[in-house]
Amino acid sequence: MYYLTKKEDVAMDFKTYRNQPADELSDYMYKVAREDNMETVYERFAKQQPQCAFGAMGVCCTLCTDGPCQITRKAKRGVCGASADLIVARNLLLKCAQGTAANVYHARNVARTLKAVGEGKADYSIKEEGKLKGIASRFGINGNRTLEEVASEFGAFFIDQINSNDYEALKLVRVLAPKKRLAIWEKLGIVPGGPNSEVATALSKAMTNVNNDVVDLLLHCLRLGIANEYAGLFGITTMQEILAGIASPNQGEVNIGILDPEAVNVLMHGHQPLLAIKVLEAARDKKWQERARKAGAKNGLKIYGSLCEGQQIFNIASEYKDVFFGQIGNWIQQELVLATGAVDVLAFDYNCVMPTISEEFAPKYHTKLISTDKTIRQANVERLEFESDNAKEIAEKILERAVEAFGKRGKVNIPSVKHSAMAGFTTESVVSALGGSVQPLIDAIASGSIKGVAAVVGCTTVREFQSGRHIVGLTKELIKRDILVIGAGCCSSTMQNANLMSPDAVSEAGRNLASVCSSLGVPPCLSYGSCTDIGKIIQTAVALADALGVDVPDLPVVASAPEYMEQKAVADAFTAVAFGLTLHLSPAPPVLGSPTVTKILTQDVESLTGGKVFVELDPVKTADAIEEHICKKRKALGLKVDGVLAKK
Amino acid sequence: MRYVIIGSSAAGAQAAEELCALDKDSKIVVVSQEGYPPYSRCLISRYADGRLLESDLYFKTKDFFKKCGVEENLHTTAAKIDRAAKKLICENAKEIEYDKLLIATGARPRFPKIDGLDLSGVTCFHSLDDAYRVAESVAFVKEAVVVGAGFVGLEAAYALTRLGIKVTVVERCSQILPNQLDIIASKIIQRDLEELGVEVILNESLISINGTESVYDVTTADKAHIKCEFVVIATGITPNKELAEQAGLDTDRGILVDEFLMTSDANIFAAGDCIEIQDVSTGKRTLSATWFNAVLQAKFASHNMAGGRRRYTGAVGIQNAVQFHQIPAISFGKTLIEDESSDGYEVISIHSGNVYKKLVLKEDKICGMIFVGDIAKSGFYAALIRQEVDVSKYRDKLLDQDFSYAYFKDENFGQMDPYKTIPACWGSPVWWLQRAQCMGIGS
Amino acid sequence: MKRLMVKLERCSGCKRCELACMEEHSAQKNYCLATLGAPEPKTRIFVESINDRPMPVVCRHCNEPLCVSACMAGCMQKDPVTGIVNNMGHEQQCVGCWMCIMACPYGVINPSFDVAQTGKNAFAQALKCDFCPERETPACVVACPNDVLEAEEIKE
Repeated sequence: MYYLTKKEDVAMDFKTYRNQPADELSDYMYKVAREDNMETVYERFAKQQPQCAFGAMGVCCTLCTDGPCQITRKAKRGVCGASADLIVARNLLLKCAQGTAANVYHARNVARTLKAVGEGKADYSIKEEGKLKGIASRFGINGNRTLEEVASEFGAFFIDQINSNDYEALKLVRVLAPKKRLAIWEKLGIVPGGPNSEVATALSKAMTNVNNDVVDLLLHCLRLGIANEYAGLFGITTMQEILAGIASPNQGEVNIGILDPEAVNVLMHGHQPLLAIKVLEAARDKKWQERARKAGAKNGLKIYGSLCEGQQIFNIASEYKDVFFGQIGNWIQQELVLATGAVDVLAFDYNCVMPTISEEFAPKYHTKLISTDKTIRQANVERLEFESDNAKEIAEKILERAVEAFGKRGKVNIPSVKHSAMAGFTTESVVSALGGSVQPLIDAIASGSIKGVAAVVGCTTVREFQSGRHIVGLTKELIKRDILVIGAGCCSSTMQNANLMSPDAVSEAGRNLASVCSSLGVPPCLSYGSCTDIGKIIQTAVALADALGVDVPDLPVVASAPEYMEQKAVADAFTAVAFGLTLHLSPAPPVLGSPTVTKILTQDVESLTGGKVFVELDPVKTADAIEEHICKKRKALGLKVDGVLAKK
Repeated sequence: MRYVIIGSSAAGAQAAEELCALDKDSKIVVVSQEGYPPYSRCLISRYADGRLLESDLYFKTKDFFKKCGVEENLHTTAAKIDRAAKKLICENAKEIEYDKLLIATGARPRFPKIDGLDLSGVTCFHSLDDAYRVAESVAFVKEAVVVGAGFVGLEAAYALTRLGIKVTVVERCSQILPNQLDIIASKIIQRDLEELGVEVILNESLISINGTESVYDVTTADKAHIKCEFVVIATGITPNKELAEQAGLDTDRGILVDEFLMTSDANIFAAGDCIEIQDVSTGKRTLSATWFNAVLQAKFASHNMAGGRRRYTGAVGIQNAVQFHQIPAISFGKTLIEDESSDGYEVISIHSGNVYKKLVLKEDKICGMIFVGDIAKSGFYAALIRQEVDVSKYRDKLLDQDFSYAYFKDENFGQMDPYKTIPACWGSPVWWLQRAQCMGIGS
Repeated sequence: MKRLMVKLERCSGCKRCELACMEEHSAQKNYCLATLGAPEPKTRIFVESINDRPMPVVCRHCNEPLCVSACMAGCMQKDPVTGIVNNMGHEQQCVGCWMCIMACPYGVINPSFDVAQTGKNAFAQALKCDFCPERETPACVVACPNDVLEAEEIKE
């Protein structure tokens, strides 16, 4: 009824996969780790099986001590009286609130740094003056002020916005949102106030016996989604670009094979790239290269990126080619990277660091761990908490620890294959690659050379048979059908590892898409960077809609999170739905226990925002559905549709 | 119908029970050399050290034969089979006529050719009488030597150690349990025993047992003397096939039977330790002295004696479960491969601490396993070996934590199927998304 | 004769049956107390998985139970009236020889202690489904929230 797999496709698919990495280099490292008797994410997943379906379907409630309650064949209500619909909606709202809070936390950190820069208290400077002045002026911060004053005032303004009340509509939304969207949101009453108080309100609504209205709870998720975009994702990208520079296309190396056994290797891991920039700058100092050589590392000291932090450095890496040596990998790979024995320092900030890294892998493989965010507390980790005015000092310390750790290395085992990829795409760089306006892209879409655009974004998961297989499978199917793919987050890393983000990948693309990409010298899958750069993708979609004079839902654009895993992704999903995007999710989110919530998310919400969610576990069928949706939108726009669902 | 059964241990007793149930009007006669109700030979060490009482050894009830209406002839040794007259002649000259005869004579201990076996204080460890002997001698014994580190030897060593005796085990091979375990598994078990205080000397054999009337010490091939007052000989067993041999039945190392457990005489069947079986795990004919096999064979033999035609298939020679001290171990099928690459055998194993699991594979099938420490689900693997199930689909998963019978739910191993109502879509992606309805929590 | 039947498609993998089984077979008859006390409570029904699909593996109380043939102590017996296969409450005692564990094709018999986890030899005994003799309906059946498990009357 509400899923795309048809009833007749009941082919029992018990071809047993062994849950292990899809990517060849990761698989090599996986075997090394297993030989060393290390338990990885795959073993932990296997040991968790089978997992309770009540939780997986969202009908397990652990909020109060009358619980845990589950909605079952026998029990249609929890002890407090909550129905399946209510429990599912409450659980979903809680996850969405947590994700929003995390993104907003990140944005607040960046805003603080921007403010400190303006006040002259930070080790950073304004790299993108135009961008800062442009955005500040939209909020009335301009005039005769100096650049520093604008920075500090805009930083302060942003922090104020984050902390503002939920009974006043957020200025960021009022000013920045496209008019058509804003009108719809106002009609639905979901223009959010300050994200922090929105999150607090959400938590209050999800209390035992407070709100029984499923629709209201889900609308609140959409409010959070909008706040998540403007006070979170958009803020993060914009301010990070102001401080670190706008992404520009550049070629680099990726995957575990790029680690250098003859160098002191520093891995920057996490989500907030500002410190990493200082580390890169410090590593340029001859002193460190000398010290690394003296310690026995013939090739000096090298910095690598990992996870989303790496993607963000990769985006601006054209400036740092002398010290930045590439992007290592995605969430699943983090343990496997350490198993090389060649990572001397792993410096990380918040989100996506497995506890096993500090408790098992780092001690075993000599890696020195340094945490730089105040939210982190882990065993065996040195805490060097980042403040905007101590970045240089911390950077020096990180390098110092790396040189020290190099001497303690044991066995080193690095697969010898290297992959390369291109990164650094964003609204601005895409426009400049197109020669200054989005018109060529619109023309390409209008002519059918590019059938449509799919944003394949988000995490990686080991659920089902995925661990990257779904991302790669779906991406290959899409580009084969002339659908341009935009990647972000761990999806980008996965595509890079699969060689889909290098210009050579046009050989995998359909004829029309391949010719467009070859003429521009870009790959058929464009990396927008980290999972927080999903906001930029939405801005690109908005720019495209503006240029065409239509609303976002009218575009032949689809978003997909083929291996979504954690709470930030839930918040991002509601952002996409609020903006009117059709969103593919896999694995199934924990809502299937409530037919009402499932129906709202997969059908009813389309009549409200224009967006909706669909769940599909098979990559090829997902591509079919995405292509069908794109063709439908093309038809509505009066564009040429040839060979609907025709495969290459 | 007159059924005569020679032997009253695992096979003999089981056959008597089965025949009673199968053919109520028949006359069943059991002839047994020993003077006890059926007792469990495997448990005598537990009696010797006091863990069990004598009555606990009777695996059927004490008055089992009487209850079944079986005529029992204890302390009676079968001397000769007159096949032409269908008569069993006993040593006490008693003659018993039969229509169907079951030979379940078992096996007897094998002794090495060394001096001093006749001294007092030297014993084998095979029967309840031996266990009495051990239990009686204990009070006077401080040190003992066990010759042979097979199951019987180690059971004896463990029992003696529990009685406070300092035990030295002398084994000719380079490991303990050489027929059942590989070197890694044997080391784990050996450490477990040594922790208790058992001393194990490997690569060593005995050349003589010394003493005047009773044992004083033993001499090893190394010319070392080990002082002891008690010696247990546990150097293996040999099948009691002579009765069959003299009657002109086909024999080799043991009595030869077809897949219906019938000997070369259609009226004579054989079961238990005295026969040779066709081992599915190795594809070779082999002797097998295990309780489990004896009982199964007796079941099949008695069915066929009563006129049935049940094939005895899926026999496996090595199938042992053991726990001496703290660590349990199971060995099943072909576990020993001289060279891992030879004959297309392949080995997969995991080993950490006291947990060791090893599977031997050949041509998509498992043919042997050793589980030490963690023996859960071992019966499932044993069934795969016994039934020669193709596991090629799951080759990489075989020793995974989550590998279980679930992967073979369509294979019922001949038993009632509790899953018969599964809809065809179970497990498919469709079912995965429809689970709410399946679970009954949809609207 | 009653046997456990499984409606597999309904199973959510919540393992309430495992908890109920542990509880029923503990001295304390309460899962939380049993976890704190000794011996460690152990389940006799197993929610295994195929890939990540749950599947309860249950004792079938076989018509021709291999565990009974394998038992060298004679304590594993099939009740001629109820058909329940059980190693408790008979004249003979379980000695922990583990032959039944090796014999059971479904892997539903387990030792009463776990070397890998405790390293201690508690009272060694093979544990298997006894169909909850103190209850009319087995604890797992009562506990199952989705009626996956059913004690069904069958003919042997």
